[in-house]
Amino acid sequence: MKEGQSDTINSNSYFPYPKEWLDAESEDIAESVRKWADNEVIAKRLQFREDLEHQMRTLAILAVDIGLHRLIWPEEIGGVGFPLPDASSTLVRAYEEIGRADPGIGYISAANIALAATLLEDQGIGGEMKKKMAAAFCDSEDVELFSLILPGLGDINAKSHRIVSGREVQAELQNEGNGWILRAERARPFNSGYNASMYGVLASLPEGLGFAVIEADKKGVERGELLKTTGLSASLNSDVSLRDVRLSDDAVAFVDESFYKRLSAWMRLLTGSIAVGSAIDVYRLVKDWADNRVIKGKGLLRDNPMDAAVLAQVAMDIVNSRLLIHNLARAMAKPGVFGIGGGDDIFILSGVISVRVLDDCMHAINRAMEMMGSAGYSKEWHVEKHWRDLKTMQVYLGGRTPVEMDVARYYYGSDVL
Amino acid sequence: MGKESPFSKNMTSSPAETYIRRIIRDWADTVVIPMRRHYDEDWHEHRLIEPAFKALMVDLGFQKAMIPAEFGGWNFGNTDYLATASAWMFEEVARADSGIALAFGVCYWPMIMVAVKPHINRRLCAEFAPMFVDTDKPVYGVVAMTEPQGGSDIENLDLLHGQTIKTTARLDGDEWVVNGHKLWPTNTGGLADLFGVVCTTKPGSDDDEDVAYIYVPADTPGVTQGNAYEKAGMAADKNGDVWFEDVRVPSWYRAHGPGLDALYLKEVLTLGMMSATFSIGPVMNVYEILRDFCSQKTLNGKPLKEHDAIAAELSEIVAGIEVSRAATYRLAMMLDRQDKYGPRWSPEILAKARSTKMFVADKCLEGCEKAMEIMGAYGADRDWDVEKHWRDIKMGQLYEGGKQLAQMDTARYYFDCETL
Ligand SMILES: Cc1cc2nc3c(=O)[nH]c(=O)nc-3n(C[C@H](O)[C@H](O)[C@H](O)COP(=O)(O)OP(=O)(O)OC[C@H]3O[C@@H](n4cnc5c(N)ncnc54)[C@H](O)[C@@H]3O)c2cc1C
Repeated sequence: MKEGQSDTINSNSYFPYPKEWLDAESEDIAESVRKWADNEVIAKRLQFREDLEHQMRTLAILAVDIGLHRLIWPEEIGGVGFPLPDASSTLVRAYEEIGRADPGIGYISAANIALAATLLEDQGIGGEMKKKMAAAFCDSEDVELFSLILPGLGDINAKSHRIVSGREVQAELQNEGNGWILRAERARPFNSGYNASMYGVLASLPEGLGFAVIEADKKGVERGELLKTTGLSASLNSDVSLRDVRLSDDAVAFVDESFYKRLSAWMRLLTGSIAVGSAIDVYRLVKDWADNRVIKGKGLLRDNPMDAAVLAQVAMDIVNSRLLIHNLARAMAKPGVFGIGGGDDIFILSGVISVRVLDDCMHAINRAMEMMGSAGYSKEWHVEKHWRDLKTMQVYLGGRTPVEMDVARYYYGSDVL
Repeated sequence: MGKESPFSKNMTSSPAETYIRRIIRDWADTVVIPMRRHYDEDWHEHRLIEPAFKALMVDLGFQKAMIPAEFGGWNFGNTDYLATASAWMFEEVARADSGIALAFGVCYWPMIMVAVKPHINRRLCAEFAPMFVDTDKPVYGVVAMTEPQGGSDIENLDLLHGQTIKTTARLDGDEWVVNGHKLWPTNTGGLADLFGVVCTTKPGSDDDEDVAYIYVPADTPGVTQGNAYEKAGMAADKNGDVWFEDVRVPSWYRAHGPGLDALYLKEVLTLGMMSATFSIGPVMNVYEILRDFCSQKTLNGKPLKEHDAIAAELSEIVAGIEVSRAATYRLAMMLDRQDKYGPRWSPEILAKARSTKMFVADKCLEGCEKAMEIMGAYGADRDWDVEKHWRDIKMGQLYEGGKQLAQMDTARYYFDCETL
């Protein structure tokens, strides 16, 4: 059957994106990531499958050696200095390439970069916290994994919490003496709850919201059992309880709802890019498979109009999704035109586009998998991994309903959660 | 389902159905459901899966179900409720694990050719029935159709009449000599006990007379089973390569002979479409899980199910289940009442069977996807079992010729197409 081989198709000319929004340096970065994807991951797929050590090794190459995790940090604190929000298109290209290789690696890296971008842009975050975070991203020889604990659609423990943008906050901060106490009960992190070295927690304060950064080995941090999940195997997750975790002042920042909106928009941009990359890789695989597949005893399957229509849908979904996600990047890069990061306009636009892009990429992968018959279902061809990964990403992002509620509030003034 | 199920009873519901469902449900709830989330790691060894399968097939006796009574079986094949009974049995088993349901259903599959009225082949029943009834171990039946060049074309009997089959059967004295390479049959990867092998007696021929269905016991010299493939789901079903190299079996191991083998093979296909239940059972179980989840999890102090937008999604899932079940049980009735609806191998029945399975497979998968989205991150957890059902039932869209063959067989009948 299938060899885990490198790409021969130039997906960048097949699936166009607005190149004028990227400068030469951005394309160089994308090219480095592309080589990483082809050589470190795609070429070794059959050898390593979903081996965690290999995934972490390749993430380190990406984050540290290639320097992706330093990219947006200012030069004076050890970063590469790609300015925000202009770097959005650069990031899209990079995460498309990572998505082609392994959406799980992309996902945990994206959670980290989305957090970094939010911290850098949010005016409420103090210099101390930024420095501490910069050290984690820029000075370390290893990848410091951040796990995000963010508001979600309700609470499995049937407790009520503060509502932020229609979602329930999962943690609480209380001021005590000259520090803080952080609490959460079986919170579900967005990523890497089981093996992160740091947690970024959005928590409710008696008045307003706080963002806390805590080390995983801090007293009171209790990780649950490793959760087995359908996809995104690079993200080892577990529920996390925070039992009276004591924090100093510099570990907590006062933020408002815009912090969550900004973080969501970055996360949606990057996961949407991963989804596009993943679908592009599936396109390559289904094309490889369809190139010699004969149907009805004679004639190539791809020349059969019914099958051609299905194959066409795969390509059409990718063309549209890619254009959409690059448009979102551009909108985020132009706050003067499309609204500031953390504002409602971008929050809504990112929700609408990411729901569509994930749906369409999922649709593309579903159709490709169906087309390939049993090959689509076998692990050897790797299509099924993209399928599991994207579905997992889709549900971790919260799916369609919460975004529909956001949209109804924004466009109709609906008084809905 | 049992008395607590809110889903409509099928129109032909009977005390036997209630009784058998209860037996299977007890087995499902005690043997399979507590262990099934470990099945993925067990895909190769079947250390957990094999005992569960044995409990169903041997201890509860279900592997006797289709064998005619005179050969020691439960006689389902000889009744007017074979398809309907298959539907409730499969649905119940699939509620626990779709892979076990597939392996279970396929155990019956090869014997359909000879153990189902009106074409019971008594000599072959006498030969093979003891394998299934006089044993204390599960017996794995296999229908080997798919080949490396493609499975759909071999199933596309009304258009291609076996033209693409490469596995050959040559008569040598009073023996068939079988040579060929099959891929993907359920219950292989080292498990198989008895194959029904779809062969051609004249390679390249598009004459139904040259399609042969030949029984090959797995321990016949020249039969080799490869290792099981690793798949997205369906861990309880092992699939692998099978090679037949100069395999010799008695000439009377051919099911019925020229013309009839191709004809009844279509019945193997139409009855095979009761596999729609392999998608329905899981999504019924997803409903049970979701009912608990949406009662337990709250948003702003209210259970999720009490939020109108979520409730709307929940309603679509159950609507899909009700309609899928109605369609499938109606199909089963048509397959059972050949006096009213004609033979199971007619183009009409084939079209209706394929379109039903196609619709149900799509609808149930959609229901699972919706459930996962409602559950958010928990939807992707192995702990809740919903993602397992989702991975398992994706297969419903891909096998038995895939969606496109279903579309062609359907359009051909309804629109009198001549060239599809
Ligand atoms: C879990 C599992 C269990 C299985 N069990 C069995 C088993 O018990 N026995 C067995 O023999 N096989 C079995 N199979 C194989 C399965 O039935 C085949 O995979 C299926 O028939 C499709 O064949 P293929 O994969 O070779 O794809 P192909 O036959 O190459 O089909 C490729 C694509 O062409 C499309 N297509 C089909 N017909 C047409 C047409 N007329 N015109 C245009 N397009 C068309 C299909 O929809 C499909 O998308 C199993 C597969 C799986 C995944």
